[in-house]
Amino acid sequence: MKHLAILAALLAPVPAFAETDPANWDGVTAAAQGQTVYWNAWGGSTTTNDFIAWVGARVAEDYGVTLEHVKLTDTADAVTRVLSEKQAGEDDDGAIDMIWINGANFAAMKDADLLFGPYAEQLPNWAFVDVDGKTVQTDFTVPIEGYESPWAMAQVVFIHDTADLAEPLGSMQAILEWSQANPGRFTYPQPPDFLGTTFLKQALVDLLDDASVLSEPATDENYDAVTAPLWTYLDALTPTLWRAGRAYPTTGPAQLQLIADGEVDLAISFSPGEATAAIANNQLPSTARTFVLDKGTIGNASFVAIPYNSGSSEGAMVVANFLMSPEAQARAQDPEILGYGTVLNMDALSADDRARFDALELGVATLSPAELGAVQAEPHPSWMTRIADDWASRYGVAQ
Amino acid sequence: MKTNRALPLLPIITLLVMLGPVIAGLVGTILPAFGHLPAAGLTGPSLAPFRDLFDWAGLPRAALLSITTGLLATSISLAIVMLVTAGWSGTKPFRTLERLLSPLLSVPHAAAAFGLAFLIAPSGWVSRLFSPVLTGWDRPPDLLIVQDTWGLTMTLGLIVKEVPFLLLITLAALGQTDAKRSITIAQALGYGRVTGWLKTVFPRVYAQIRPPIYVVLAYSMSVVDVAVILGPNTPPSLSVQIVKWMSDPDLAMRLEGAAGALLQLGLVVGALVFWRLGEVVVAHFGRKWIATGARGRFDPVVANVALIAGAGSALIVLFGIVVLAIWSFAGFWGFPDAFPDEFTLRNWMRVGPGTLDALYETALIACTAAFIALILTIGCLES
Repeated sequence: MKHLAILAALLAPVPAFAETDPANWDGVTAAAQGQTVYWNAWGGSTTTNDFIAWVGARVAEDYGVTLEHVKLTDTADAVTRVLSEKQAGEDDDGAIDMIWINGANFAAMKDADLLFGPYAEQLPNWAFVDVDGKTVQTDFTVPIEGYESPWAMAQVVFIHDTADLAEPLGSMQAILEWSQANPGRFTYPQPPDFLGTTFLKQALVDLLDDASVLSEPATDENYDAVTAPLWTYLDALTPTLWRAGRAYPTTGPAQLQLIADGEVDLAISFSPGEATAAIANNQLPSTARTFVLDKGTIGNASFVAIPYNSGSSEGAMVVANFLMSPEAQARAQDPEILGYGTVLNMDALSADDRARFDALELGVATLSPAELGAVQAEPHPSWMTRIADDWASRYGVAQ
Repeated sequence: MKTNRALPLLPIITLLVMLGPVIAGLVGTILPAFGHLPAAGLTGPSLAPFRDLFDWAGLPRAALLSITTGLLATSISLAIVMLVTAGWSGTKPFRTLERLLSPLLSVPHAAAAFGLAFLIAPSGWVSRLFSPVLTGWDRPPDLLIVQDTWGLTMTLGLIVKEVPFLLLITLAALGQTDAKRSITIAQALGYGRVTGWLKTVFPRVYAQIRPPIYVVLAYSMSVVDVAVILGPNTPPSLSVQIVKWMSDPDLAMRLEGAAGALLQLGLVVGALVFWRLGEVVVAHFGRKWIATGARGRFDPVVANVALIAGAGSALIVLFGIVVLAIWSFAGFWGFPDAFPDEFTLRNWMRVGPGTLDALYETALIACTAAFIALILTIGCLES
């Protein structure tokens, strides 16, 4: 087998870009020098964009890697692009070197053999990652097997303006009752925006007595019965929403703007530190705070993956590794900058590195890890695809 | 005069440049609309894309929105421009309005749309200026103004951008219609300003500006950026939905998008035919109206209303730009404060460098396109 592989390698036309073994880190950094990495990442948040720009400055300084942020509105666009390139036979130097990814998009790319790897667990900084305490080896129940590397932990929180809604609401049922008593003061981003679909998932998980069925793929047999409580809930909630559900904010940031404008009092967020960062950026009133549901909320990790046809996979690995560094992780967790949860294990860090994290204040609107409470698992991606489609036909053309 | 031998080639090149991409695009739409998209592993022919399209529950409203917003925006902006010109051309208010409107032509549609949204939303600037003192609103009312079901805000957003365009076109046409002498004679016969102009000058001006009006109609029916910002989204107008289908990660959705695009083309052609028939009807009743000899009793009222509408559309864009400028320097700006808590350069510092790059590329593309278009046009006229 081995000989065959070597033979094939010798017979194949000279590859334009020799890929370096991820385990050979010196080789990776040497090859990365001078490469340009096109990181396709959701570009809808200025704080995130600023962080990515900072990462670019740091990897240019330390490794001579140029990082270009290609700002996406929807990660699925990048998946489509890589798929189209594969169909067009562009196998050596595609336009995308790295994607901010998770969930259904990762599952689709891994399934279609569109990813480079395995590489994640060979990166030097993988040694610091909290493999036992955080879900960084499965992604929405799909095994990762080294095809993407984690860089941030996220958990659903609800942002409320305490000037108008003083007390946290402990369950989806409580949110419904509050919305019925205060019509027009709540909305969520319009699915298929990821935050909008997250709201639907969170509602379903909270409404079910036993959400374990969601960890297996949805089937034609169980889909209707399992999701029935969600549609009952939404039928009751929608008329009480902002604009009676006849219009929705298009994205998470547009939804935050509605709080700042005093149009709504409650919004969903997938980042426990987002409210604090937004207050610092004048995007939310200083009275904004966050809460989680009594039964806990959905959490997941954000990853980066490298397409199989990246011509700068070494540069991308350097960036992926830097994202897992204590320096980058501490900056991402700084509530004034990004407020993303770290993927690192504090016990694995040196005393100096641990001090970086200890020095961080939580931020005025950020819950402590203890207050964030139980993290619920993401449902299998198949649920979300069907629920988003059903939402569009039930409420997306409702007028 | 020495003739250049390359000159006769220019009209042919122009035709190729104009029609080539359109034909290629049409082929690239028709094939997938009938199920043929080999790049995604799909081969036709098949009617499935049209079946999917007509199965989409949002289609009737999306198509209706495209038609109503297009026809309304075109007819209202045309009426404003014609009546303002009829009532005021040659006067000082007209010159002021002309000077006010001309630069607005260069304001991008999306910027005007954002400005309008920031002005008239329930939490917009107009509402803030009068709250809570006059309105009693401590919190913005839950009113569906922006993204309204019938696309009226979107229509308004289109009107304020089409009025400057049609006005400039009309001014160019006026020079070729001998308007001044016609109106002098009409007034000597006792006709009011507006009525006299409509009865003598309008038919000739309209014949001149007909193609640009068709352009406005086709554009308004298929616009995407204004519709995304100001239009409804449950469901959106057909053009927006087509863009969504086309960018769906599921490549098979492109077939439905292509079918939708052909339907959109059909709607535009249908609306143009409808408009052409409308011209015949208007001409028929117009002739009868001319024959009645009515001199125009309500002319002053009509002229004033038209001037207010024209000035209003200019002011909406201008104030929209002002409020955009304020937002760009704003610190936290909650409702119902008329102005932000503080002013800061933070937003400009943040996006400044990227904006400069984009500005450079925009200018490069614009200059190149304008230069090539100018050469081709002059070349065609010369040969």
